[in-house]
Amino acid sequence: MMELFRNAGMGWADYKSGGKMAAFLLIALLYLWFTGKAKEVRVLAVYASVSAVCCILPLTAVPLMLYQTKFYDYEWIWSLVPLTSVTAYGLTVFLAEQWERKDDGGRPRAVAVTLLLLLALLLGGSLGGDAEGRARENAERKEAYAVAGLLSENYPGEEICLLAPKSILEYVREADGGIRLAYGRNLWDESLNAYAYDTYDGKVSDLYRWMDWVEQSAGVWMPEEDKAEMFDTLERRMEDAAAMGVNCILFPSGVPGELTQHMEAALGISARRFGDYIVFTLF
Amino acid sequence: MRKNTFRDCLMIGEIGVIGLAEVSHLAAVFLKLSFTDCSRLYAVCLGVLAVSGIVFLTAGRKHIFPAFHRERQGDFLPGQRLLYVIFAMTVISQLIFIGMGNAIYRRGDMMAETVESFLVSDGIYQVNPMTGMPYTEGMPLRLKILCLPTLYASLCRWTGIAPAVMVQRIVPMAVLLSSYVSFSLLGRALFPGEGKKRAWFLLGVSVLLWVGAYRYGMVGFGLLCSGWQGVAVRGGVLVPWTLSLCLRRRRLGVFLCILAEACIVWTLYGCGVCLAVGAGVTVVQLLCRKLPGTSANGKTGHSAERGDAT
Repeated sequence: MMELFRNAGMGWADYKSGGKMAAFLLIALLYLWFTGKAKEVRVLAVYASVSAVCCILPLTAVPLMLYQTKFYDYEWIWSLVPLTSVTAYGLTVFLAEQWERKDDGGRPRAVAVTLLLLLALLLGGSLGGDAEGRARENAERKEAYAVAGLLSENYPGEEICLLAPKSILEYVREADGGIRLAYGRNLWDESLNAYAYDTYDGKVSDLYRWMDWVEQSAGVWMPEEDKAEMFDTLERRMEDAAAMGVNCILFPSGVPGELTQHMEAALGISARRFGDYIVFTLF
Repeated sequence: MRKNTFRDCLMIGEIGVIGLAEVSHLAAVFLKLSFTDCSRLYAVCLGVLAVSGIVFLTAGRKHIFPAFHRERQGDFLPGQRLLYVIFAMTVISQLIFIGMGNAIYRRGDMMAETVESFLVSDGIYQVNPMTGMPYTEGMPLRLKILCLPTLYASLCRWTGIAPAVMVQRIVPMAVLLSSYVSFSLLGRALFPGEGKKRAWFLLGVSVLLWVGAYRYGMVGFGLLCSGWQGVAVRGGVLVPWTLSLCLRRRRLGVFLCILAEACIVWTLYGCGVCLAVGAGVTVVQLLCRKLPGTSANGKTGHSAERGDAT
């Protein structure tokens, strides 16, 4: 129970940071109540005020979190608050009044007030957001789709079970449902584990960590002890992968030639260039 | 306002589409039907719904369409048309934003993989969508009975569109438009007989959806970045309609929203948001009824005279 109270307290602090939608709601409610305009929609104003206060105060937020069976995070109790509706109502009443006023400058003043309000609203969001992160994700998605397409094109009719870098596995199942994986993105996006009772065993975690080393080895630098362990455990990891049904392994093309040779020796096959990747197939 | 408007009929139709998807999905899950049979069953059900809808609209056209036409052909106040033009431009910009797919948020969500799995395995949850391997321990029943994957997979099967495109681009566009239908109904309930204020309201909503696209959990974020999710449909479509129905004292519609939410959102074993909102607003209405100077729906006598639901 104490954890719930802590979550409720920290949840509100987190909820109001980043953007200002909650602040806009409170401003709209204050405007409606203090100008007497809330009387026009008393039911909505009372409901929105009470539900917002209940979400803000930890003492009342906790029962709401219990109502949503503790499953969802704090922010979801705000689904009960008509945040967008009431803020839009407040905006409407305020702006309509500005445009109906004939005194104090008339239309130019209304235009200025409207533009300032729009600017304040847009600055209260997060204009552009994390554009860099989105661009990276989109590039990874494109790459994964291209790889999935190449695999289906080059190995038609094969039941592929793929082991590949994380950025490929992240999207490959949505690109081609015919490709199976030794482990999916629920290994690193843990919230997805709520959707199934299945769990991964230690061997899968070891394999995931090993592939992470392989990716690092294609980069500029990796710790020597990790590199040594990667080579030492290569055969064991390949045995585990084969036992899991993996029959197609993709490495980034930048991995050391020594690693490719070790893989060829362990699997008894030749590697093949596959765009920016090296592929080892067991079918 | 006591009668169903055309937009109410659209919302009821949408809930009907969800309800029939749920029926087909449950039939497939419990009778162990293949996905092909499930989508065929759903197609038949949708056909029946479409015919019933046409019959209903034809029979009730005097009540439904005259109001619709009057509203569309009614005189626009000065500036109202401009507000609607700006609103339309905002909506179009949002549709383009969704269509570009640059801000798709799929953390904690596996809808596209699930739909892809249904189509490839020709079965409902025959394989774990994350890996494509058969389930070893199974999955929660409450999750298994949610119908959106079947709905989207059926759309993919009928149109031949790739699941990722259908789920992450086309469906969110439809949900966004539904959301504006829902908010427009709320606008009607809040500003009866005040067309210009309704235009301001819709414009305000569209701007606030942009503003709210900054974090997970916001209605704007749900509609613009993950509009295929049940929680986005709930926040953008069902909850505004629930509010509008409550303000108009149409309890049957609220019941439909509660059922629809149960079909599309994993509320775990809870009762969902629509029930809480409906109950909360009803309690406030009952309390407001006892306050002096307030009409039964919580509006002042003045606004009630302007044609609001009483």
